[in-house]
Amino acid sequence: MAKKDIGFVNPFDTGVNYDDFLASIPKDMTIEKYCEGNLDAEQIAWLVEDLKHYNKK
Amino acid sequence: MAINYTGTTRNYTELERIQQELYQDSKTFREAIIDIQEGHKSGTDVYESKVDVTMTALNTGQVTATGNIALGVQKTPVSLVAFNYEDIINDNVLKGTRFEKSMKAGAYNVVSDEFDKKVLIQITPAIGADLESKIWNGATSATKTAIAALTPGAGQGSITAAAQTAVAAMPTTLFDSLIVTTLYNNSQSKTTPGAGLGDYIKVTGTTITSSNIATEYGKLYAGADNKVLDGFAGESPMIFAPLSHRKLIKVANNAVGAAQQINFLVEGSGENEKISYNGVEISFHPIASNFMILTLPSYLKVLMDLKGDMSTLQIGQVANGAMQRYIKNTQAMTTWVVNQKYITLYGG
Repeated sequence: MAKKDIGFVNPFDTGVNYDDFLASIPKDMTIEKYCEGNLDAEQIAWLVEDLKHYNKK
Repeated sequence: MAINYTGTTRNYTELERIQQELYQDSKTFREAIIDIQEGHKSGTDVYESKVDVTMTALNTGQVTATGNIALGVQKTPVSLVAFNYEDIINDNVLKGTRFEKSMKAGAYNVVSDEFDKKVLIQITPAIGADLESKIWNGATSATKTAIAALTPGAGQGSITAAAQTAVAAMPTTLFDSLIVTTLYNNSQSKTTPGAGLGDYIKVTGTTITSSNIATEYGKLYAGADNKVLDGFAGESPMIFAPLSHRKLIKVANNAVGAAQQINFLVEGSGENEKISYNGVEISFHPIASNFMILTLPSYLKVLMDLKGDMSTLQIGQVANGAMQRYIKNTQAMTTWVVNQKYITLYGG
């Protein structure tokens, strides 16, 4: 949680939807890597699970 | 001398009791746990109000328009949905069964008094059980479409993708369940009035097992509004949880050995059993396993024409000499939520 990337789009912030969040991830970077240092491990694990539902749409 | 018998045999006795299906009727209506409002035919207006005041230094002069007392009232028209349970039954098929004995003499008479008293009487509990299910689990096809069209997100003010999936998997019903009405409604009292996501407090959820149930209830509790947990006007908050949680809670509480942690208070047993978490009573209903609600119960509403409609059956002979009977139960209701910002929805 120490590192705080400038420009990191926090998906847990009010008003941020998954379209915004996914668009902010640099190409070839995993969600886990992008969120590392910005979200805790539990948040990242939950996010990855929820995005599985989103990607099934 | 040997007996020489020709023909079929039959049983000369029967169990007097006809074993019934297990119908839980409707706990919600029976115990009036939430706010059940009768007397509405096709629709009703729901009003919500809010007053904001701002303290200022004493003014000894004339009072002027300050905007320091803001009185707000919003009206939301809510439509009830009329529906029925109806069918035709042919009592003639009961000939040759135990029920034949209670049919009146005369070939035209095929109605069995015993059948009516022991089998047909189960229709209303079955309707009650069906309503209980639909009040807590299900969405209309229109609402399913609307929720599927939302762009999900993890933060407050967004629906989770898991919740979207869960709603899509719910039974398609004629009116939205309380869970779905909390998720999506057209209240004029929301921060953004009109059709859209509800103003609920979102607590992200996961699959609940006996291993994590205490942790997840902890998240729900921690996410709830402090004023709600404090109670208001003599009303105490309540957790509305899936039926399956009762079992998981017991398993979690009764872990043997060093792993045992009593996180839930279980008082009494059987029908009188009460389970609570941190002093908040849990009420179990047929809610989809992904969701829970913590709020003041009166914020969850069922609006209906007449509560007695649930147990009223119209039964009569079909016209023109038909040896059949019709059965019809007609009702009108819908669900609604108020003070949405004080409703905490786990899994939303």
